[in-house]
Amino acid sequence: MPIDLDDLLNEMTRAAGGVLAKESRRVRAAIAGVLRDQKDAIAAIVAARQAGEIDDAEMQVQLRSERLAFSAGLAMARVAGKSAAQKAANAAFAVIVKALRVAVG
Amino acid sequence: MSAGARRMAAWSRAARPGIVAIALLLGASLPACLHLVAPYDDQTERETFAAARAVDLFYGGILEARSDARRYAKFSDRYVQVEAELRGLVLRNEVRPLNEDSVEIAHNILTLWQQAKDRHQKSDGYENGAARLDRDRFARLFRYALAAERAKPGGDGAADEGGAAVGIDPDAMDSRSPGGR
Repeated sequence: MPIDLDDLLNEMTRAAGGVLAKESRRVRAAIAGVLRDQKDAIAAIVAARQAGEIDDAEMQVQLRSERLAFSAGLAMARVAGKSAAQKAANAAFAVIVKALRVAVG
Repeated sequence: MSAGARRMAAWSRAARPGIVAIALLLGASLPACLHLVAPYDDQTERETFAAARAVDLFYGGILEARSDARRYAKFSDRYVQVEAELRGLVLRNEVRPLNEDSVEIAHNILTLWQQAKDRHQKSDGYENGAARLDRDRFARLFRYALAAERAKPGGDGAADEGGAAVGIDPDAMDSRSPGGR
């Protein structure tokens, strides 16, 4: 049976899009969580300074440390993004495999 | 039909099973070919929980001690033990292909640990305010490390909400470490 490339492309797009719709929500939620963590962490540092629990020098150290924490959070979100892209691409490839199997009988 | 065309037709008939087999093999292998990120690794998750627990216990010890009983010498052995665990975690992540994001997280944890150790060594003390902020930051980074691991193919996708579902707190670590998912 010949392969209709337009149908194949449409079906691949649907398959990948379905996966991405679900997974992109997860990625957005991951990024939002990291940003919320960052806001809370900065607020905690400022509160500690205002309460006299840390001095100015320590506050600078704490703020510098937050850069590494934030980049770690973004790295976590990148994993979620890559995993989502991998799932979507493999859903599209699964459509090709199915079409090939039908085409070769 | 020319002799060339006949030869081509004969070759095509003879080769068809082979072509079909190659197409099927290619088709069957396509989904397995695309890898953008390392698969989930249970051992890494267990080691991350163990390291998170070690760091949390360390800070529990710091905060329990009176401020004037927090001389660096009293804690130097534990710094070395925890650093060894963190170096092991970095190495475990480094040897896995397509795992650079988890390497970055583990490396940042190690860097922050070494910086905290250096500060403690230089000042020969550790104030409550700094200790609490540092402890909470480490807990957050371990939560990111675990969420990243679980977001990988084969994991349970715990990167949602910045990995909040992983919930690294002392009680959670007691029940999950090592190996309890």
